[in-house]
Amino acid sequence: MRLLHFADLHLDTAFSWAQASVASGHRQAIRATLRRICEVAREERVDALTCGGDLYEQERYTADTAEFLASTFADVHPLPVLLAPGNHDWLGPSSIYATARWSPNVHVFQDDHLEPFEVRAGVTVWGASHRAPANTDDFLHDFHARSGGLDLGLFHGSERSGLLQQPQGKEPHAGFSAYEISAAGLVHALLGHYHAPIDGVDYTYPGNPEPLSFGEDGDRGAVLFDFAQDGTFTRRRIRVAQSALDVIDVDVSGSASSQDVCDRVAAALGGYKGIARVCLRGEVEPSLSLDFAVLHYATKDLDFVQFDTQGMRTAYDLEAIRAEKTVRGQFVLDVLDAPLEADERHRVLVTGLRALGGRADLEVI
Amino acid sequence: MRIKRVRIGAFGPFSEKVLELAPGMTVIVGENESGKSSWHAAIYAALCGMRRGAGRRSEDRDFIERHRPWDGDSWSVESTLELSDGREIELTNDLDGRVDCRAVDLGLGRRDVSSEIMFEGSPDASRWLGLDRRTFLATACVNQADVLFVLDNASALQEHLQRAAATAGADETAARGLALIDDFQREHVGLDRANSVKPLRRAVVREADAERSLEAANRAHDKYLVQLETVERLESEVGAAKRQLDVLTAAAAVRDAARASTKAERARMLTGELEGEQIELEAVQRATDRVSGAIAAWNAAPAPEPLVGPSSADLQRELSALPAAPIGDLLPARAVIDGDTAWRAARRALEAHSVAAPPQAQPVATSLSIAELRELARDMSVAVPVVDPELEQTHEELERRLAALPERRVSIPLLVAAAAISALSVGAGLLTTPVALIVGLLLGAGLVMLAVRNTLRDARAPLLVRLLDNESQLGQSRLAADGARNTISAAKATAAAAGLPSEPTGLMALAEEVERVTGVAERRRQWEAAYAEHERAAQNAASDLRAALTDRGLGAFTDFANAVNEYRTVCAARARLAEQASRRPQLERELETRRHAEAAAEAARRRHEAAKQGLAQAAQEQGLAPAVATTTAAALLEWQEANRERLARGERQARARGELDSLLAGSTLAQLANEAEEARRHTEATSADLPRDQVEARAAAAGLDAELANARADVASAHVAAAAARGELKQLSGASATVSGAEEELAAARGELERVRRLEATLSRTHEFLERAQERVHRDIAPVLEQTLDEWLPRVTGGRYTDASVDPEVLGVKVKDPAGNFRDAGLLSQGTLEQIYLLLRMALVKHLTKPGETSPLIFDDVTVQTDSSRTVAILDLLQEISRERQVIVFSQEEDVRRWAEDRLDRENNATLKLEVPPLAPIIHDQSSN
Repeated sequence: MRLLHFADLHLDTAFSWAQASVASGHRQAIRATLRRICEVAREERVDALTCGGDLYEQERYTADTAEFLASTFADVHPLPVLLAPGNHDWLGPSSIYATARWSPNVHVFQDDHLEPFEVRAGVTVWGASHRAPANTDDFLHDFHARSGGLDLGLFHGSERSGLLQQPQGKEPHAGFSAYEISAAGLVHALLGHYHAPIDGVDYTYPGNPEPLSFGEDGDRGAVLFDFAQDGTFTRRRIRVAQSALDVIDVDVSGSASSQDVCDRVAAALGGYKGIARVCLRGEVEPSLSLDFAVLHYATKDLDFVQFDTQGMRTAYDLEAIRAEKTVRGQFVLDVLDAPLEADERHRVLVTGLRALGGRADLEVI
Repeated sequence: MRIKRVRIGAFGPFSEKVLELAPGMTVIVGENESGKSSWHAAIYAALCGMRRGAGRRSEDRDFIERHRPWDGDSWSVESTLELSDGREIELTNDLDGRVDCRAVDLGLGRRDVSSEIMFEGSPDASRWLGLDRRTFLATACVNQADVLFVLDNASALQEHLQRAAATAGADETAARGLALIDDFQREHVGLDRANSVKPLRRAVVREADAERSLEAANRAHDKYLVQLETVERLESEVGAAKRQLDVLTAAAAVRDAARASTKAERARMLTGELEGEQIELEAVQRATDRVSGAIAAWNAAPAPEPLVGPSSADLQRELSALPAAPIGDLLPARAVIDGDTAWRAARRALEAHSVAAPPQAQPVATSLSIAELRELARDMSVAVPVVDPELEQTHEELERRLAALPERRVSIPLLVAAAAISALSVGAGLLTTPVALIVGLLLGAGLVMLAVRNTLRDARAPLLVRLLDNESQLGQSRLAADGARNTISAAKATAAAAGLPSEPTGLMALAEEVERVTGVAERRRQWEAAYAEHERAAQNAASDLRAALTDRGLGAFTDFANAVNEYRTVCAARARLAEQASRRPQLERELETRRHAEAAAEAARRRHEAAKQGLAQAAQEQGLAPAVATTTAAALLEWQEANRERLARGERQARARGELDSLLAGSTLAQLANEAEEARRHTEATSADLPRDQVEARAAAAGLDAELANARADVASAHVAAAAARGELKQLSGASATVSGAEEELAAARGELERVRRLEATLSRTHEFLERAQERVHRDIAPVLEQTLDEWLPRVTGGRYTDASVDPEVLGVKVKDPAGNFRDAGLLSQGTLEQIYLLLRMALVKHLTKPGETSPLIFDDVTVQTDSSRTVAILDLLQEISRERQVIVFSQEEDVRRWAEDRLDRENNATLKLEVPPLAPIIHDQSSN
C-alpha cells in the first residue's frame, strides 16, 4: 500500500516580513506546491493522498480557495484524498471542508475521534478532525483500532516530546505521547502540526512543504510511504517546494562605503534567485553610510530580499574616544556607563558620534 | 613627548632626508618651494602614520595626492620620539602599502610596541598623547589658515574652542551636533500632530489605517463566513424542501393510482348493475306524483262546517243605528272647578276681613319725638347742688385776716395762675379727658408750690395757702350749681320754643300720648294693607274663573255660580252620548270578522269540490273503477304503496347510470383500466428511493393537494432565498482586501512606526547625553582655559590684559581691559587676538593631552600676516611655551630667522634653514634637430 502524506500547507497565510506583492506571490507559490503534491501522487501511483491538517487558514482564506482545493483534488479523481482538519483549518459550519463541493474521491474526517476509512481491503486509515481552534483532546485516548488489518492513523496533533524541537511559541494541540500510537493498535501515525520535520519510529511529521519563514531547516516536503501488510514500511521525503526562503550571511567587516557592502553582498549571493534574508555582519568603518538603494541594485535578481543589519556594528574605537577629554569622549563615557540595552547603546553612540562628525545620516540602520 | 628626529625615505620632493629637532623650540625657515609644507606633513605622517583599511577618506586622498613622492619611490617616513616616561621610540611608517608600519622601543632592544598605539589599522604615536591622528592634526598643528580664520571672524575663536572641546577640533562642535540631531529629528521623525506630514505622524496614521483595514478585513471575512453558513443552510433547506416535495409527489401518485384503480373497479361494478330491465324512472315518477298530489289535495280539503251567529247584514244594520260621539267635556274641567273653589274662598276671606276693621288714629300736635320729649323732662328735673355755707364763711374770714397782713405780690400772680389753671383743668377734665384734668391739676399744683415756696418766705404764706384751698373748693361747688341751673334753663327754653309744657310731668305725659297714638295708627295701617290684599285675590280668582268658563264655551254671563252649574249639566249630557257611541268599534270588528268567515267557508267548499274531481281523474288514469271520493282515495293509497319499490329501483338505476357516466367521462372501461395501470407504474417510479411508510402515510392523509402546492411553493421560495444568499456571498467574495494582506500591511505599518519611534527615542537619548556631556566638558574646560589665560595673558600683553573669563556654556572668551571691563576677545586687536588664540591652542593641547605627557606644537607660517612687532610678540610667546613643551615653527620670513638667531640659544633650541632644491637641468632632445 503506497500513500503520499503532507501537512501544514497553510494556504492563505500571512507573511508579515514581505511586501504585499511578494506575500501575494508567495501565497501563489503555496498553491503551486499543492498542485505539485498532486502531480507527485499521480506520478508515484499512490493508493491515497493524505493531509494531516492545517491545509489552509480559516481566519484568512479567500473566496476562491475552496474552489481551488476542490478543483485540485478533483483533478486526481478517483485517487482517494483523505483530509484531517487541524487547529488552523478546524471543521466548523463555515469551514471549506463543510462548504466546498468536493469530488467523490475526497473524504473529510468529520468527527473529533478517530473514524475509519477503508482505502482498500485490509488497509484502514483512522482519521479525526479538530472541530475547534483549540482545546482538542488526545485522539488516541481510549482508542483502539479494530479493523483487523493494516491500521494507520491520520490526525493533527502534538507529540509531546517533539515540542521542544519546535520554534519557541509553538502551542500544543491534541497532545499525545508516541507510545500511545502502537498501544492503540496503529502501525503508524501520519501527522501534522509541527513544521519541523520529524521521522519518528511510529509517526511522521512531514513538515511544511512550502517554506513559510526564513531559516527553516530540515528536509520538509511530502513523504512517500510504502506499507507492507505486516506493518513494515519505507519512507522517502520528496521536495515539492516551489520557492526558497534562504538566510544568507554576509561578512561586511571593514566596509567603508555602501559600494563595499554591495560588492560583498553580490559576491555572497553568487547568482542566487528567489527570496532571501541577507544578514550583514561585522564591524564597518564609521564612514559607512548604508544606502539601501545601492544594496537593492546588488540584489535585483532576487524575487525579494530582506536585509538584516542587527549583526552589523560600526567600528569606533570607543575605548580611545572615551579617554578624550572632549565632549565626544564624555559622551561615549556616559553612554557606555549608562544602563542601556546593547542595541540602544550602539544606536546612541553611533548617532552621537555621527552628529559630532557633522554627518546628516543619523539613523543607525 | 618630544620629536627628536624625522627621517624621510621618500616624501613629496624629498628622499633620504633627515631633520633633527631641538627639545625646545626649533625654527625652520625656508622660502617658498623649499619644502616647508612637505616637512610639516612628513613630521605629521612620521608621528601619526596613515589610516589603514578599506576605503579612503577624502582628507586621506588629499594627503596622498599632495605628498606622495614625486619620483615614485617607496613612500616612507620615520621618526624618533622621546616619551615623557623616558622611552625612546622609533616609528616607521610605510605610507604606500601601510604594511611595514611599526613602533619599536629602542631602549628595549627594538621591542615592537606598535600595539600600544594601533589606531585605524596602523601605529599612531599621538595615541600616547591621548589623541589620534585627526585630533593631533586639529590640535597640535597650527597653521596660517587657522590663525587667519580666527582673525577674520569674530566668532571663530569661540567656535574653535567649542570644536576643540567637542571633538578636539577634528569634527563639529557639540552645538552643531545637537543642531544636527534636532534637524534630523524634525525631518525624519517630526511631531505626532494632526497636520504633520513627517514620518512619525505618517507612521501613526498608517498604523491606524492598517488597523482599521485589518478590522474591516476581519469583519468582511466574518461576514463572508456567516454568509457562507447561511448559503449552506439555505441550500440544505432547498434539499430538504425538494425531498419533502418528492415524498408528497410520490404520495400523490400513490393516491392517484389508488383512485384510478378504484374508479376502474367501480365502473366495472356499475356496468354489471345496469344489466337487465331498464325502468322509465320519469314516467313512474310522474304517475306517482299525480296520485300523491290527488291524495294530498283530498286530505287537505275536507268538507267545510256551517257558520253560526248574526250575519254580516245584521251587524251592518246595528252599526248604522249608533249615534256619533259628542264633542266637548264629558266631565267638568279641572280649571273650572279649581277656579270656582278659589273664587269662593277669596270672597269669604274678604268678607271676614271687612268685619274686623280697627278705628282711625287722631294725630298729636308736636314735632318732637318721644325720646326728645323725655330728655327734656329729665333735663328739667336735674337737682341743683347747694354751696356749703361754711366754705363761704371761711372764705370771708381768710380774706379779712389777709387784708390785715402786708402783701407779697410776687406770689399772687402765681396763685392766680394756679387757680385759673386748676379751674380750667377741672372744666377741661369734665369736658374732655381725665388726662387734661390731671395735667392741669399738676400744673396748678406746681404753680401753687412755687407760690407757696415764695410765700413761705412770707408771713402771709399760711393764710394764702388756706385761702387758695378754700377758693378752690368753693369754686368747684359754685361751678356745679351753676351747671345744673344752666341745664334746667336750657330745657325750659327748648320746651317753650316748641309750644310744649314747661314742666317735666307734662312733658312725660305728652310723650306717652304720642306713643299711644302712634300704635293705633300703625294697627290701622296694617288692616288696610291686608284688606287690599284680599280684594286683589278675589279679583284674580274671579278673573281666572271667567277665563276657564270662557275657554269651555260658555258665553257672556254675570253670575259665576249659575254659569258653573250650567257647565256641569252640559258635561253630564255629553257623557251619556259618548257611552253609546263607544260601541261602534266593536261592532265594526265583529262585522269584519263575519265577512272573512263567510268568504273562507266559500273557498273551502270550492277546494273540496276540486279535490273530489282530482281523485276521480287520478283513479281513472291508473285504471281504477269510479266510486265515491273516499273510496277512490283509499284505492289510490293502495296503488301508491304498491308502486314504491319500482320507483326505488328506477332511482337506483338512474344513479348508477349517472355515476358510470361520470366515471367513464367519455372513456371506456378498458381505458380506465389502462389509466389505473399507468398510475401504478408511475407510483413505483416516483417512490423508488423514498421511504415507503412516509409516502403511504401522506397518501392517506387529508389535504395532500394543498400540502403538495405548499411544498412546491416552499421549494421555489427556498431556491429564491438560496439564490439571493449566493448572490450576496458572491458580492462578499469580491471584497478587495484580504485578511492576510491587511495583516501584512499592519505588520509593515507597525514595523515602520516602531522604526520611527526607535529613531525618536535614540535621537532623544543621544541629545540628552550629548547635551549633558557638553555641559560637563565645558564646565571642566572653561576654568582650564581661564587659568592658562590668567597665567599667560599679562605676560604676553605686557600687563595690558590681566584677567580672562570663559563662559562655560558657549566657551566665549572675555578679557579684562585696563579699565577693568571684560571685553569679548573676538573684538580685541588682531595682535592680542592672535596671542590669545595661540595661548588657547596651547591650553587645549595641554588639556586634551593625556596626563603625564606633553604634546609638541607645530606651527606653520603663523606670522605671515603679522607685522614685525606682532611677529616678535608671537615668537616670544612661542619661546615661552617651548619651555614646557616642544615647539616647531616653520616660516618663510626673514624676520623670523633673525629673531631665532638672535633669541634662541643653541642648547635647547635650533634654527634650521631649508634650501630650495636646484632645478633639474633641462635636457634637450638632440634628435629633433
